[in-house]
Amino acid sequence: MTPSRPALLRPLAPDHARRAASAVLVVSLAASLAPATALGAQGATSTTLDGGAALLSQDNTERVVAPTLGVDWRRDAVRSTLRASAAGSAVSSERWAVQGLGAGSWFFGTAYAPREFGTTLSLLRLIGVPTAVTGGLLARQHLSRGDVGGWLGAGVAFAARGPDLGTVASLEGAVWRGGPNWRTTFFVSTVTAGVDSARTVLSLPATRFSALDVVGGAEWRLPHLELAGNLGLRSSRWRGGDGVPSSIAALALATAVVPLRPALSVVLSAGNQYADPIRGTPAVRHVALSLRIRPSALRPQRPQGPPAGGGLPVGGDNGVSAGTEPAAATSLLVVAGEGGARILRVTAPRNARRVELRASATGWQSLELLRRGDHWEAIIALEPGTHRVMLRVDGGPWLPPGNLPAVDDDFGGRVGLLVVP
Amino acid sequence: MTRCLPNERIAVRLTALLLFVLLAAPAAAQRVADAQASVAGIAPAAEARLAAALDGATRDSLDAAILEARRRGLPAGPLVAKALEGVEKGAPAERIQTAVRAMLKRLEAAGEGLAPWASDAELVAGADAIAAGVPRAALRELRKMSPRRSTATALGVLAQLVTSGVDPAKATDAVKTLLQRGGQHQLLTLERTVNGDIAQGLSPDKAIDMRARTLITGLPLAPQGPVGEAAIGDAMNQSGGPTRARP
Repeated sequence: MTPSRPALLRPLAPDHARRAASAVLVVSLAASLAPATALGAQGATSTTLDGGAALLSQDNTERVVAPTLGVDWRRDAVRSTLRASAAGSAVSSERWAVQGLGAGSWFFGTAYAPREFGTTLSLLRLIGVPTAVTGGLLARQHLSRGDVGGWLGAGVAFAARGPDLGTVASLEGAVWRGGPNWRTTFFVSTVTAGVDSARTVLSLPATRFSALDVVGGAEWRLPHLELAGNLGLRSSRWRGGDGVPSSIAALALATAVVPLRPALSVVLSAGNQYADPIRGTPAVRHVALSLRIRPSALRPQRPQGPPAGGGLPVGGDNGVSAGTEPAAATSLLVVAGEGGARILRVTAPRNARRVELRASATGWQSLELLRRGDHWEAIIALEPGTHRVMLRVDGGPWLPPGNLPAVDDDFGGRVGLLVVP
Repeated sequence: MTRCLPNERIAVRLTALLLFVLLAAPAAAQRVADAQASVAGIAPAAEARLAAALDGATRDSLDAAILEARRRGLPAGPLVAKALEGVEKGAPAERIQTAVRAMLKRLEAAGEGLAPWASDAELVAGADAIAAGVPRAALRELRKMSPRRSTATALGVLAQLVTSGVDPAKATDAVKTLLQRGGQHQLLTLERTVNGDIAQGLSPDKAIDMRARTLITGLPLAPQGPVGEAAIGDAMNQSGGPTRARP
């Protein structure tokens, strides 16, 4: 007689709990589409609040509208990133769910081939269902060259719900290609979850869930619109226990972010997510609308960083270079996007309409940055070492960033000196 | 059945040949230009911009600088970048020539300071450090401390500190001590905090003293004397043995 599937890997029983979990999942998915990796010369902290509603639909159940609320906090530093998020949804006082997520990544090695070590911890609490806790470690080797790159990774995790505890092992690989305002990624991963930890150590567990995921994703950033989407397939198998031995499911998700103000954006997302028996989240289709607030953009702005060089007078006998006094209201950071690509992040006056950058890395050609909330960004290939950069706001003079030391440019002006580790 | 008359066949062949020449010639010319640019070490896109903007004399000056750089084993990229910078900033031709020659001189000085070897990134960072006022001896000291590891970040931070007004000797000591103590990941923190203090009104030298001491206090003690190849090199130098020449 085959043993029934352990509780950890069984779908959630109560319908209301599943829908609430679906709503929580929707908020988490929308937040997670934003790049979450970073390394930079200084730390940057950002917080977003999302509040809205989601229309959820599952097989054999009526549709339901659930309000959603989420908060996401991120700290990007030189070679690390930390992220914490929480989301909650309540269909009624007796139908609610909350989820918390903590993640951290640390990068080592060269800029072109950094090694990443990360850890995650998530909790999913549904009324009437034991809290599901998952935590894991992952390691990735990134490789990038210019606008293409990829990574290979492996991870181990545990999943616990009530008295049940299981282990999860995963392998993944991805290739990506991107430009200043777009990026496409092709991702493949395989995950195996087993229960009966004693047998996992000594031999393969009797009950196992395995899945192979193939996902293609794309992001596109315009000055007043951000679009992102994923299409994927999952082939899953059960070994032991009851349930469908194998199945194939599809995933499709699209998100649009429309900034209304530096501090306020509208987020629209739609798609479907396949069931995740490891965490106990069900398959669900959704359409969700929320407002995203960035509290940091509401605070009064103050100059970023010191005025470098002591404010030297305009130099040059031919007025070649207009930039000498640094633009104290601008600052420039280097953060890394997914796969180790470098993102230049600039903070400019809140009422700025256009921010441009030119640097030794761009061949001194002007590059227009794209607004993202309360800062401006561009993705360019930056080698480790020193780089000379200048910024221009709303067609004004080219000036060194306010937070960087300004050096003589050999043409009678000054440029900012940026160090990329 | 329609057959081409002899004259028509000739016309067809000539047309085909002409089309081939017309279509192939620009492509061939482009391939030649690409090959030339490739030999000179200039990306085709940059080559096109330079060709459009530089006069003959300035272009000859740039090519001479590139050849000299190659002869000395130095990268041509920074020289091309300097020329492009001048083009984009609308600098007069003579100014571009002067700037390129100045860049070459700084690269040469950086190469000598970072001997026996240096990556392109180190040479550029070293050139920036020298431009900021860092003495060549500081480059030699950093090379000696890091015979196998890149010094680009350390040189960049050194350049930033000196540009901000910190005494070059104090800046060099602080950077060296951080490296000795295994604190290379603290270099950018040092620069950021020192600049923050300067912005608050503290003198650059007091800022570096305070911040360096704070960072170094949290690091393990430095090993006694140089290690690795630096120690071997020191021993050989002291005994009058050969030193490696920069390729």
